[in-house]
Amino acid sequence: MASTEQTTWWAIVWRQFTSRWSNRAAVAAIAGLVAAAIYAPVIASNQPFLWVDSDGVQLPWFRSLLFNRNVFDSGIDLFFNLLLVLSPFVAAHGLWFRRALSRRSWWERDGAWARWFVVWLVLVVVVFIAVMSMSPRTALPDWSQLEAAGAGRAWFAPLRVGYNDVLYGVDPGTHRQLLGIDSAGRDVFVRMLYGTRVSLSVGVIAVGIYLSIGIVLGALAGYFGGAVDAGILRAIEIFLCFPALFLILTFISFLEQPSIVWVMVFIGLVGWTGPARLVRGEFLRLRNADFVAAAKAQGLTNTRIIFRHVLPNALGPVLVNATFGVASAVLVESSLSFLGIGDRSLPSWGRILAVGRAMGDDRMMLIAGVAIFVTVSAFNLAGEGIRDALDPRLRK
Amino acid sequence: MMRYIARRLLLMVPTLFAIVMIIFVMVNVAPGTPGQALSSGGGERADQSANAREGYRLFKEQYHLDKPVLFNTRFLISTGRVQRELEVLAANMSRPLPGEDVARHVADTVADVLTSLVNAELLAILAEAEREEDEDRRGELLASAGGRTLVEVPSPRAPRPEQRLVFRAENRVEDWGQSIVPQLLEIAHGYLAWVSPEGERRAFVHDDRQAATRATSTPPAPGWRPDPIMTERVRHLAIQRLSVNAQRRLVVRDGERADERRIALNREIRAENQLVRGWVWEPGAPAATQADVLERWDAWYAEHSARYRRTVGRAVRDFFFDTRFAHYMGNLMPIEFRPRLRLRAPDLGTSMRFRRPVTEVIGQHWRYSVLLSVISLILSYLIAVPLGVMAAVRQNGIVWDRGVGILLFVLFSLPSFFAATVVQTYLTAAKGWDIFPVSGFDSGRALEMTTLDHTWDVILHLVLPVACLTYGSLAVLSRYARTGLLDVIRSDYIRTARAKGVPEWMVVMRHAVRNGMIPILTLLGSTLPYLIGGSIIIEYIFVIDGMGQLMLQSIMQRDYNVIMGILLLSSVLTLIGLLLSDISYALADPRIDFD
Repeated sequence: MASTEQTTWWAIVWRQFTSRWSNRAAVAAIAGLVAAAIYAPVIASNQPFLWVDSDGVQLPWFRSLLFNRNVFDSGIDLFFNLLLVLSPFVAAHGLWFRRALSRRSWWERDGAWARWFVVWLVLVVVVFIAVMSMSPRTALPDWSQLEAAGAGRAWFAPLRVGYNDVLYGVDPGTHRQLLGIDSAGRDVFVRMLYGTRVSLSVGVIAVGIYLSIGIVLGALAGYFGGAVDAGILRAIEIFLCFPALFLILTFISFLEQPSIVWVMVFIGLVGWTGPARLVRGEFLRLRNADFVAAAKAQGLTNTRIIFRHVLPNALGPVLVNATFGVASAVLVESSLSFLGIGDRSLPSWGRILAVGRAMGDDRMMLIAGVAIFVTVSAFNLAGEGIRDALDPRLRK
Repeated sequence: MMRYIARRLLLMVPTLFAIVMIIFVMVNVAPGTPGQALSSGGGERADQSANAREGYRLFKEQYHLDKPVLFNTRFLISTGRVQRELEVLAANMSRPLPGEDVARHVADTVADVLTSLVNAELLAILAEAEREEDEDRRGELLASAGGRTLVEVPSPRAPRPEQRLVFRAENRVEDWGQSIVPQLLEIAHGYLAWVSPEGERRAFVHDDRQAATRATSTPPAPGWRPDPIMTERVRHLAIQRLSVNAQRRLVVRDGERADERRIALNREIRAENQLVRGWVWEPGAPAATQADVLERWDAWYAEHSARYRRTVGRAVRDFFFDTRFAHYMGNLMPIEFRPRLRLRAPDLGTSMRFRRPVTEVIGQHWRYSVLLSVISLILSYLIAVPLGVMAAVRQNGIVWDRGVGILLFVLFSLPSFFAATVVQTYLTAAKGWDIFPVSGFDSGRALEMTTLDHTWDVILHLVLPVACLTYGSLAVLSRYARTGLLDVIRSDYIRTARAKGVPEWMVVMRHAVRNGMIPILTLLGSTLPYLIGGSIIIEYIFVIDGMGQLMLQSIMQRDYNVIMGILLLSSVLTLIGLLLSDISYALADPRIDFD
């Protein structure tokens, strides 16, 4: 039997998407940002990779990533550190998986990557929760001082500062400061680097929250119709009228300890109407399709029909919405921190921009603004690209 | 069509109700004490004077902040519940009341002094941080305090309750107000505390209101003896509380105009409040004085007991209608029931910061925001529509379609606060070219200028903010215009027009644009809420005292009524905008029929 090279719909969309240079540039920019976020501690950390003294060899940097919350306190940092630690394994497993798959027939390959992704995601989340709840706080020596005192030998990352280290009165010779220090004496470049983590995680998690609410409600409304549809439409109309930015602004500044998690949650809570309407529309279109009737005739449950049969066919417009949503969530987060609302100890680009403005430090202001601009336009560009790739009229 | 509009308007009522309720509950349940920053007494503080506390109470009462948010279950409060709160307060008293065992308190006082000495450094840092204006500097100060906590020097007395619990108890008995008057009277009459040889405590409230019964009551178990200090403290707290909680809320707000009847009623309430305020005894007063005061309360209570009688109807009414939300909603309703049924303007309440009606405060600020937004809206349509038309006419052209498209896309992705910061830095006297003024709506010298000069001054001030507000929406609008025109330009009637020899520019301008611009015009309705809420950050950067600035300031100072007012106004505008865009869609395109 001649092997028939079957192409899935998503493969066509992907080929269409990557055929444009601007989309490839956007993907490259996003990949670069993700890499910068994950590998930030490789570039800047106040913990040495290797410490050798008379007692033997220590690995303070590695221990600090996951096993000491005195170095990385916030959940965002721990999550990205976890990705950093796991990234070699993920990459190796991915390569092996691709080789293994290439020997299988196409129907076994269908959805295999999605399952691979979900398994890794669940694993990362489980380990993350374990680390969050168990990671201890261990007191740490100042390794630079110890080395200066001749207690041992240390190998540091290129920049040997953490993002909250105060560098007042520290000899700039020992610490390379690429962009100077801010009004609280912290290294701006290192904060910019770690700020990538904040921006990306706010964008992705906020959108994740509202996608999951919106998809479920939209699917229910579109699939069942009738009273369910009417009720959910009413809720959509109510939430549509909420002045989103005003509301987020109000609640974040009312919180006593405004953690970044709340920013994600509130963006998620006010943003779900968009995907809900899109998914509802797609479901209304698809629920009378032949394949749904076939699934019903087989006696499948509603849950299975909704999530396994109809939803995959309804995800196109949602994907576009989500990509634009990441851009706007990044924008909302940086606007909030620009106004000085939210957690001030976290390195956030909007905050850096505001501090640069207040200090009259143009370099700092411009670099933060350009970083926000690049991130936002990369996601917007990707969103436009996906929209065009999904549009069959533009297909070549 | 009219039926459709009427139905939509009717549907707006429940939607609005839900919106008001959700926003109201979220704003009120959010952590933080209402009016903390605004009331003269500085909110809830342990060390504040009695006067300040009374001011804060009246403040809460006036704005209904003493009421529960959504449902009122205060008719369920038992005497035991009130008693427990009073006991927390009594246990917190550090100084001995006159007539109490002084020696027992000397050790306590020494422990207090030692505590403050041990923690002197930390307390100083905290106090300085409290005073610090600059947020970043305050953060540093608090960081320098590290994770240190106050060290408590142990003292021989019973452990003091946590400060949090004391605040809570104090606020609770204060907020419960009128609803616990009978319970307080009962406690003042019959409270009796016992202490066991092992130091265990137990207290009872005898309900027969006879001092004699109290004196002869039997201990809960053999060996227990009465605790006169606790008993006297709780009874004193109860009578003190009673003299405050029995006071009624004035029906006429300060500075409000009212009719004869309400003024008379107000005068009556004021007189009664004045009277009951005095019915207390000094701590450690002799039993005869106490009995005398209690006798007066009994007489007063016998006369007014109808007010406190618990009936099902009253419970239901209180449960739903004696709440913050019900009062707010009642003021918001554009209908007045008493003294006669009539329409009126919705009352958004009074701003706690400005001490003026919210509608007035908003009236002072909205014109700046609306001016900014309207100018930028007009400009963006004026720029975006021709660009979109050109892009459609020269579809896939290098300059008009691709080039302008990329430029607008870049502008679309450029955060407006970044652009605003940059132009404010480089195009004003701050740094770089001195072309435009740095900030403000005008130079603040309107009186010295001629009208023409002043107008020019305002225009100069508005160039940068308007530019920053406008550029971001160009991409979306021109995209709409382009798609709208492209949809039309392929249709048959255009081909017909071309075929009969109409010049190309005439085809586009006369035939295509008219129909192609329908979608973009209907978009106008949905821009309505941006009139007041679209320019928060621009107003913040250029220090223009519009709605955005008002909102930010009100949030910082917890001016609840103003926050609620602005949130509501934007929601209503969004609702109306949705309706308008649907209607305009039907008006512009006769094929669409809603009925």
